[in-house]
Amino acid sequence: MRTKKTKIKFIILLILVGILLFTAAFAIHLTPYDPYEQDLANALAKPSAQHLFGTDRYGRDMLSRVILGAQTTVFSALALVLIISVTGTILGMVGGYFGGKTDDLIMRISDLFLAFPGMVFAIAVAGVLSGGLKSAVIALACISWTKFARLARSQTLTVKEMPYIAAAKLSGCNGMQILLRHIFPNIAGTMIVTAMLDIGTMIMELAGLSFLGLGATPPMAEWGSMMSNGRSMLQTCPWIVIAPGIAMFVTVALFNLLGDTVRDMI
Amino acid sequence: MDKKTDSILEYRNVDIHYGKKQVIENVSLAMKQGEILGIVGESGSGKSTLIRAAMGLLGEGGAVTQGQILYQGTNATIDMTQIRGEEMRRLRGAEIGMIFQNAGASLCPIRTIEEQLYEAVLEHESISKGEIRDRAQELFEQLRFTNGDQILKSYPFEFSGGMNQRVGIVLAMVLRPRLLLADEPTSALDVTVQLQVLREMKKLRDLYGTSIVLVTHNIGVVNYLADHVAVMHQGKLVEYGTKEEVLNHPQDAYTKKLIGSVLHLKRS
Amino acid sequence: MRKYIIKRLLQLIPILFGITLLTFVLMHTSSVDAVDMMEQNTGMAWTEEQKDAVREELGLDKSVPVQYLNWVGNMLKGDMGTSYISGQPVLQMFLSRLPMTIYLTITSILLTIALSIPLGILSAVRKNKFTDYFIRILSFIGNSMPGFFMALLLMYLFSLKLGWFPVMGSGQGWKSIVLPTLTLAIAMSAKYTRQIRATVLEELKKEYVVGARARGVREKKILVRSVLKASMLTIVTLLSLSIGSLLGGTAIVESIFMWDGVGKMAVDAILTRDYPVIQVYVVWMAIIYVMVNLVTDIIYHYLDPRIRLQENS
Repeated sequence: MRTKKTKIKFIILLILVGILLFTAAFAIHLTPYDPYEQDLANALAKPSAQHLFGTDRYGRDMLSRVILGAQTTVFSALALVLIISVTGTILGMVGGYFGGKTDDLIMRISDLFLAFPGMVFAIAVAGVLSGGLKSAVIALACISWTKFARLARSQTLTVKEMPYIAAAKLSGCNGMQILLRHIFPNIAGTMIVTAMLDIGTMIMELAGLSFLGLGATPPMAEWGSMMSNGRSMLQTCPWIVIAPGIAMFVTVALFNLLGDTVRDMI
Repeated sequence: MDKKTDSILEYRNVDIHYGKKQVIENVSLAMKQGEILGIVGESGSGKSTLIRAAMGLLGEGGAVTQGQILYQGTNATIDMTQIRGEEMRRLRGAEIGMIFQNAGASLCPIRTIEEQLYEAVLEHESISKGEIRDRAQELFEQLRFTNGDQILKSYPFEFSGGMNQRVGIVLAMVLRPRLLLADEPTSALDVTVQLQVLREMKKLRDLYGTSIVLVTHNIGVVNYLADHVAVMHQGKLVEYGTKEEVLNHPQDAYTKKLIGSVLHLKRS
Repeated sequence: MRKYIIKRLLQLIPILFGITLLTFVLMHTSSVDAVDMMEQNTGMAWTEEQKDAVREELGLDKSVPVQYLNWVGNMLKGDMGTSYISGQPVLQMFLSRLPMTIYLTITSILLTIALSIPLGILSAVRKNKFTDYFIRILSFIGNSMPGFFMALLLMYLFSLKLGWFPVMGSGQGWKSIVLPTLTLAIAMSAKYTRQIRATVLEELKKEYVVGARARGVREKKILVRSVLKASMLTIVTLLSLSIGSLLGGTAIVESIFMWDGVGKMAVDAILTRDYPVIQVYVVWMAIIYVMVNLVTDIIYHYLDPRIRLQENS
């Protein structure tokens, strides 16, 4: 339903998300201070005019670290969503369309991954791969692709029965062509919306792993690990935890709103 | 506004809108007690909307924007467009009943017929479940079903279309409403079953004196059952009179087309 | 009904096989040598001979398939290895901490149900009015906040600033469980409320609601007796899907609040590379998860008379 209100919402959100992405991409140039520069004399300073978000225990400016953290968090989440949505969709379409042994195999594998509660598996894999942001991404990718595969598969199964697919087959299109030209355009909408709605979730899960120490590690600026470091000083210096937390909340909220609006439009 | 009427149901200059869209324009008709009124028209002519308005069942965005729908209750005349909440609820089912085109869908799929029967009756009268069952059995017998008990213990999805319609009729009649609004009660049935169900409805009217409004797109149905006929076209009432008048001597051009389009089986 | 249960139990076997295999493979592809880890943890240097002796003792010198079979064999005997750190048998470690996690999981689910069902229904019935918007905004906030941030915020507000609840640990009776439960319940309720609202709205559009109204049934009764029952199916499905994320999600909350359950045990084990502990955690959580899914599936079948009766015919 593309009402006017929805279109306006979409444009506003798109602009906001654009600003966010721009900030994340060019973070280095936009930070007021160097996020890695330590100033021990000024450590744990309360938020003030000079340091809007205060400083952390090494005297690093929190605002700068939060901005830089956006780059790490947001782009790794985007990469993650890209990987799982593309892989999952392809596997789901192939399985759904061709059926038979291929489909069975794909489904069995995804069942296996689904047998593990998500976080449990992610924690295990991330732990086994000895931490670091890359392993966190791989770990989450391993378990999250199944959602897209299942969705793509069930959508493909429905679309497969449509008369125009039979027509396409009769006019001589082979499997690949049908998949690309007829099936994919029809399921693309749903898949894109699912992917967009997943961005927020992935940001939170990556941050969660980093929080546990399984993802990004210091001195990398990443919201989850920043909050983990600030945990012990929660009572005395809450801004170290709250600043990245609010940044994450705003980011996730923006992506969620955007995803919702896109879904309303389709 | 003057509310006196000697009809059991009267529409006076009724307009109905869904949001900004007008779906019924200036409809006036009246039916007497004990009558069967047939309302015919194509899909989209507004005939279902017309009777749903009488029970306040217009759905989201729908409202009677002008006119009155007068119902002659046991004590007083009521303007159905003006009452709400508890007042409306008390009339529904007990004094005015409705039969739906797909009676099976009008019942909750995961509850037994019995449960829903008790619920429908106990919302209006406090009588024992045994008595409710007896009443239902009586109705089933009128419709020539002897396995009433089994029917009650079943779920809607276990029945065929025709059976579901019968169940719908029983549920609508169990409280002996004075007025029955039937929204395409036989349209979803096979032709042979249709006739049976119509016969049963006529029988109930003869037995209990219920006034019936029958909405349908099938002229044959109206020919069989109705005393008076109203023809709806694009939200307007284009013809209204006795069955004889409307079917044999139609005045309006649309009515003529409608009647003329009915295929007759000629035995040569 | 019984046939269905048996069928599902049989399907369980290959799944269990897959779980154990995958976990085993996972652990053994780690880039760290187990014995080197043990050496590190003792803080002393070992000679190569000592290490080889330990390897032989642990059976690590045998081929991988043999190791796997040994491991499964031991597991069936109840021996899943010992912790590299504490030397305790890991199965016992797991079982002794499991009750705490289950306790937390149950209270969270109960609180979630108590919150989300009424809020979801209220939101649906008052669609587009103020109540609805308010509830939807709350849900949205809950969905956009990661669990650990919520935990820390709650901790900051209620423990550190107001002092109502203990900051950490499980030792202070019912007070200890409030914040962890609240954290988990808020996150889940945010998701559920939305779903329930959508389900109820869909049910309300159905003909049987109009039918019941036409029969003069009161709105409240329609909601509670028919709509709720019909929505139950979706709600149960939701619950079963979420049990998975809940089982894993306790790990973070347990770590933050120092709640002595299996989640915290696993996180600690990962940080210290205590692989046997990780292994027992992963295998057992997976098994529990699969069993819970099975149970909810059966309940689902039982609730829907359409399926139940079809199975019997």
